[in-house]
Amino acid sequence: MRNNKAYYFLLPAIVLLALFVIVPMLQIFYFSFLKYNLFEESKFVFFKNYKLLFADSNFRWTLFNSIIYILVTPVIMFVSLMLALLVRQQTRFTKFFRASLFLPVVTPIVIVGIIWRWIFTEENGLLNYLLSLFSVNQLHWLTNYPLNILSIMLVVIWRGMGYYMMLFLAGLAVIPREQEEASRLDGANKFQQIYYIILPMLKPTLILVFVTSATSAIKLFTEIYTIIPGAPMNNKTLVAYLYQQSFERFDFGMGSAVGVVIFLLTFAFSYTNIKLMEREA
Amino acid sequence: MRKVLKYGILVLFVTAAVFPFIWLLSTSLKGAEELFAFPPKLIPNKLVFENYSGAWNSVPFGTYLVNSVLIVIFSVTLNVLIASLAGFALARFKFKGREFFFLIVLASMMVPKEIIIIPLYIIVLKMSLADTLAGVVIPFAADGFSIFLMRQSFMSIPKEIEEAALVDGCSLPRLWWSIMAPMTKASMATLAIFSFIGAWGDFLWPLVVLKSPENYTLQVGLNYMLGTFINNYRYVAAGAVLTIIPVVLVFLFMQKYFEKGLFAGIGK
Amino acid sequence: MKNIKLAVVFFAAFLMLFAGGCAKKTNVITLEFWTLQLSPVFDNYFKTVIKKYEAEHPNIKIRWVDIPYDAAVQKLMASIAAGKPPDAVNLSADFLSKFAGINALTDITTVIPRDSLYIYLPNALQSCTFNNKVVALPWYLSTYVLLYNKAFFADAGFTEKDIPKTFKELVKFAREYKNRTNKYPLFWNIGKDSYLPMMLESEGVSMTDPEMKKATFNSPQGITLISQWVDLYREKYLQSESIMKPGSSIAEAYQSGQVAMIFTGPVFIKRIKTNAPEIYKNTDVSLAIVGQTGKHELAVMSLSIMAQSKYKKETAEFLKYLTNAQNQLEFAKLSTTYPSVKEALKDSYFVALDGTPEAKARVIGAIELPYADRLRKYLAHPQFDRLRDIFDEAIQSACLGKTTTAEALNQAAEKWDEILLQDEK
Repeated sequence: MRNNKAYYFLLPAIVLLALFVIVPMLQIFYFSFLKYNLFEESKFVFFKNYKLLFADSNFRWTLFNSIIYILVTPVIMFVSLMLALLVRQQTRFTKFFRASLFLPVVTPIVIVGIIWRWIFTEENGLLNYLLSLFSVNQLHWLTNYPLNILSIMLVVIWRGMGYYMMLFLAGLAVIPREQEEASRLDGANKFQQIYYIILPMLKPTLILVFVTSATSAIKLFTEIYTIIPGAPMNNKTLVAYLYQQSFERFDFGMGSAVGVVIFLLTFAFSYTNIKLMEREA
Repeated sequence: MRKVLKYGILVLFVTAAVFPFIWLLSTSLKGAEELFAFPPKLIPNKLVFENYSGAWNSVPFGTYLVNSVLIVIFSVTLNVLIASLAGFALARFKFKGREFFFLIVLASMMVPKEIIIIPLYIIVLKMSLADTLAGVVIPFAADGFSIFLMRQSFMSIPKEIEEAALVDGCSLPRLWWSIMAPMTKASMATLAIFSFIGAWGDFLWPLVVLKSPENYTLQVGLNYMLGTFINNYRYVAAGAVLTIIPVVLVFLFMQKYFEKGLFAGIGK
Repeated sequence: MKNIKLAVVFFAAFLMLFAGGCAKKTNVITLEFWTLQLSPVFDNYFKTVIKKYEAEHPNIKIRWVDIPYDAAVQKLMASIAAGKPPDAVNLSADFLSKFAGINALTDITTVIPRDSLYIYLPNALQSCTFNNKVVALPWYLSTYVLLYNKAFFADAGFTEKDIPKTFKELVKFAREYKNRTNKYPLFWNIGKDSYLPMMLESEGVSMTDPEMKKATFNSPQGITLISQWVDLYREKYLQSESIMKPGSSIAEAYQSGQVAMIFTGPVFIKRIKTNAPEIYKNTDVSLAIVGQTGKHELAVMSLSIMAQSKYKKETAEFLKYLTNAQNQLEFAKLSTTYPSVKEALKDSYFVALDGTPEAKARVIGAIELPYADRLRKYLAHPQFDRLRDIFDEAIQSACLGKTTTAEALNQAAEKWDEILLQDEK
């Protein structure tokens, strides 16, 4: 529906976003063209930071590692959707289930780190202990790269399933039951119902979940930092690299360049996918 | 048979989800002798509630709590309000620049927070908002993800509702307030929960913006309990439990907005 | 109607959020002073000390801000970027090196006379000196002692005379202990913020040549010494996480009873007492492990004046006050650390034993203190963090068997040379 009054509705959001998000981001863009340590005089170096960045083999690994994490997204989507469908009704049981599944989301990351590190501990941590019961070899969940990527993914899925489950529940709540009822009377089984009725109507939510979880995966930092500090390759993910350049090397120009790369990468990814998925709307 | 499978899966996942929290709870109630007992015991022999009073007193918990509560109330309210308004506009209207504004919303989701705080702090300082709770809340009152969420939610509402209302001569604000927003209750509730968690659990930004200890928040306080000179695991566990409980309460409270029947009675 | 009332209340409360953050203008100078995670434990101490100073200097007000270690750098950088840094800041050794490297700190001798620096321990002062500039006043110090579990030792058939005193003895002991008990002997951070460079230095093998232009840790002797530890790891005499965990989590393994000893600062004893009283009961203290030179590490917390400060002289006066013998002695008593002032160390507090491991550690550490040194000489290089990371990675790689020790160290040395030969900026 065409209507220019829409601008009024958008106003508060746009003003705030422009001032507190867009402007700082533009400044970061600007910094990325400088050699600057926030303290001394800055020097304009054009694209030198970017050149150095892409020539650095460490950075190439970093890009690779961060992009690999996107593999969690389909798993998370599947698990959280499944859970949402299972707890759809509003019974006392489901309320308990929902709250329980949501606990990982609200547990402070510090605690999450402590617990999962204990689970992954290579000498007699929970996982290796269970494996030993089945006479399987101990695995190096923390010190072995790439196995430690899998370990982190496990934690991300554990933490995210409740979160995205809530988004799916919200999306499911808007779907009118009549259509599902009708199809059931027509003889459709559960899976057919899900595939032909629910999923199409859930499309906006699916897009939201996909984009959000994928971009979070690329920007993963805190989980890695708390669970495998010091592990081989662990500081070779995008945000960790950004942090290292900005706050350990104090090379703020370079850190900003990394920030710009992260921004462009996630933005391009999200925008492309949204357009693709919304095309059939 | 199907029910067994369904509950089986749920129980499995719930156990995995709940287990760390149970461990946390258990630690918060243990005495020091039992902390490192091997094999680890889940249920302590002796319940030690002193860990909670110890945690409460080791840092100014009361002050931190008040600050966190204030921040959260305003963050959530502003977040939901602004996102609902913006999502409504982006989803239901065609207007010049809609794509552009949506791009801005999307872009704001992609910005890496760790580095944006530096220029952001400078802006906040120039606006004299440094070291105030407002400085913690306002920069994040509009949030890309929230707007995106509400946009998707509004997009799910059938066109007929809108058309019917406009035919009836409904004004736009009323369309939003009385008709469409209530239909997105579940999403708003979800947003409220997420916004709550975000504001409640935020550590980095409050730390950068605030300087006076009277303004510090709960997360900063929790962090203070793990330092070189003060490092009592059981108190930390108790403190963590104390910070988790309000969130769970809010979560349970918000569940009522997921009642089905949002479409009942709104049909033509 | 109700909605409007609600909105008004909301708005009024909203205005409350704007409270705070305004400074009044008078001719009182406010000095801002930041410390690293010392609140709330030392709240009373600081409030008392500051109050006294303000009473004696009515035109000065001290604003004390304490920041958690975790986000300290970000907060500091944000303040610097905004042009509003603190006047005085408490820095750890790593931070000090970094900030000195970007010229963010004032040379103290430009603000106070050099001979007022003689009250400090020479080695502590040396740790605050970079490129011949004294960029900080040394504050509280820590050094290393060996904490061990008497009960575990006894179970394994060891007595006091078996306690290792040198790194050589330690390696032998570690093997012997695990062979007897099949439990891990000690936890040591060899792969992240690795202590191995300090071990080398203590054994007389420098990481670089005196001019810091070439790496020398891959000399035959260096390789031999490091190999001993890599082999210990590979042969599973050390826990697999020894290559991952940094020095700050060193107490975890000990207090959970997984290992029999750790080599760390006395300040960790309190933590062990709080979290694992059983282990604490069995804890005893021995001398720091040293190499052939007999030197061991000194950890210095210091106080600096930021170069952007407008009140350097006043800040310097305050810092001198904070680090005077009396104030430092009091702080040392509260914190299980050591004062950096010669005078304060003479106090009987550092000689008296009372049967507790804390007292023993304190006394032992105090005896060792004059011989402690900043063993990580390469800390003086502005890019020391890159050097440190390269070394850590080399150790990890060797321990995980990806390369031999010699290969790993040689490759690391090459990378070090590249960086060392680069001139400033």
